[in-house]
Amino acid sequence: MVKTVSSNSDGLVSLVLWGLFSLVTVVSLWMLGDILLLGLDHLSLDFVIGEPADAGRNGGIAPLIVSTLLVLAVCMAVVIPVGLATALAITEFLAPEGRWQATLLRSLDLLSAVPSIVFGLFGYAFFAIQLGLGFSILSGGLALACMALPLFVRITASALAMVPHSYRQAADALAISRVSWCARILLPQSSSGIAAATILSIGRSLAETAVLIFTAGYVMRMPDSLMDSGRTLAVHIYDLSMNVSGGDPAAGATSLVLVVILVVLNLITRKVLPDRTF
Amino acid sequence: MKTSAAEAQFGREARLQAPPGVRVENLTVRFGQKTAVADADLTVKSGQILAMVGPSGCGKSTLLASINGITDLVPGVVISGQRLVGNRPIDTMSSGILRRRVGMLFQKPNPFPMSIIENLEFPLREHGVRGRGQRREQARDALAQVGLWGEVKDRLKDPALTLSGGQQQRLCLARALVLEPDVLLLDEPCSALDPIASAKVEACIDSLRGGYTVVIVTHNLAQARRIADEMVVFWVEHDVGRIIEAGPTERLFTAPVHPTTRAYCKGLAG
Repeated sequence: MVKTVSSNSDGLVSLVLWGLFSLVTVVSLWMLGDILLLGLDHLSLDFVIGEPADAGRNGGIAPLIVSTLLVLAVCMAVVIPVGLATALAITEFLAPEGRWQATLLRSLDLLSAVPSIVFGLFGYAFFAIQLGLGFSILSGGLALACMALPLFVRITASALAMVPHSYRQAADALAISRVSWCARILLPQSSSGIAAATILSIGRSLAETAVLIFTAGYVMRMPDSLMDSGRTLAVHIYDLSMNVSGGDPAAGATSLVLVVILVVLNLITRKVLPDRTF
Repeated sequence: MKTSAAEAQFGREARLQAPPGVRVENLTVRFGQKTAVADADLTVKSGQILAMVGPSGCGKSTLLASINGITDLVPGVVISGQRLVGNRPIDTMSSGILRRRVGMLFQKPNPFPMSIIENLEFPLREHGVRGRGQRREQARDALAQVGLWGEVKDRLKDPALTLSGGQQQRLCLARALVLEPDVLLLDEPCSALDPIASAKVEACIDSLRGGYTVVIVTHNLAQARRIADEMVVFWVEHDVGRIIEAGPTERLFTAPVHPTTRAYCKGLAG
């Protein structure tokens, strides 16, 4: 009798779980299907390598792809070293469960919950105006880095904290220096967590519009340097669907390119930072 | 951890002589409000094996790990009393020198997530052994010393975590031995192993007698009786761990003075 009840409730639980799983999958596929339907016809090699024309309705998106990758490069060039250093400082150099560690982690949680437009305004005021970088890819990348850092640090710090205590005991007992401990054991053992942090930061940065409209601007020309203004793909999609009548097919095609870039960067990150726990 | 040439030589010079003894005087260790062990006195003679026995939570491991200063790393710990290795207070040694002279083995095998050979070469590099050939040679000697060389010589590049539990524990012992320590601290080294693996590790420990001064924490009284020259019995009194009796192992089993020791060694308490 008892057995029947428990197997019945087991069945119910797995039904609910499968239902939720299907719901998430269906919604994702639906979104992908929608942009495929919208943009696939518009997508071609010329679209990927061409210059935009007619406010983006026609022509291609090559300068925007370049701007996007440049903004992302600036952003990740800041996020990865600064983020790793911060996460190491929090987990390795502050007393575990001490007041400083708790305060820092809590402020990081708060920061990652701040709406991105706030980072946009901050980036505009600080990088564009105060530091005189103007509307530029550099301003945009730096402002984006401020937005992505809290997330990156939070995930990396939890990955570092997951490294088994027994390794640290062994390292302590052998008087392994802190630098070697970090370089040879701690960081390699956390590589899959660091990869996850990197991928999520890349994802958020590629999807970002609010921060960049205030800082990188929306010039569609091919950028000559990091000091040029540049429009990213996400900003382009936003502009096409909100401000340009008849821009939807181009917006759909641009979205597809963005998804492909995201997937490729994802694969590269996993390749560079494989799961080294064995 | 860089060590000066004169001090780095210490281990090797000492190898030619008998290893130094260990002495703990009036040691009290507190974590915040909780006193883990109080007023502990302990003497381990050169080259002998001393077993620390007693129920869980009576401060054995705390005392053990304070001999090489690992306990000192715990946030909020307060330690008073003297700890001497070869008549030299450990506070006068750098942590690099201290940990090199006093090796440690833990309850659960904890090889680094690296290859078998790298588990031995990494600490050697850390302690300034520059020559690749010399590192190989010392690693080989250490593996031979724990009877592992024959088992792993064809798979030195394999991850250490592919070894069996008993082999991992012997690799950890080799990792401690490769730095040529004088003293070894063993924290229940066999308790996570099956009887056969446990017997092999125990045989390794037995072979250390004379060449190293050994302190071992164990819950296995039969093991203590087999391998230890001297024994100390810990007990919890008023929530504080204390040493209630110390002496030659055989005497503690045949003619214990303290009634609790008598009951514990007969398996009636603890």
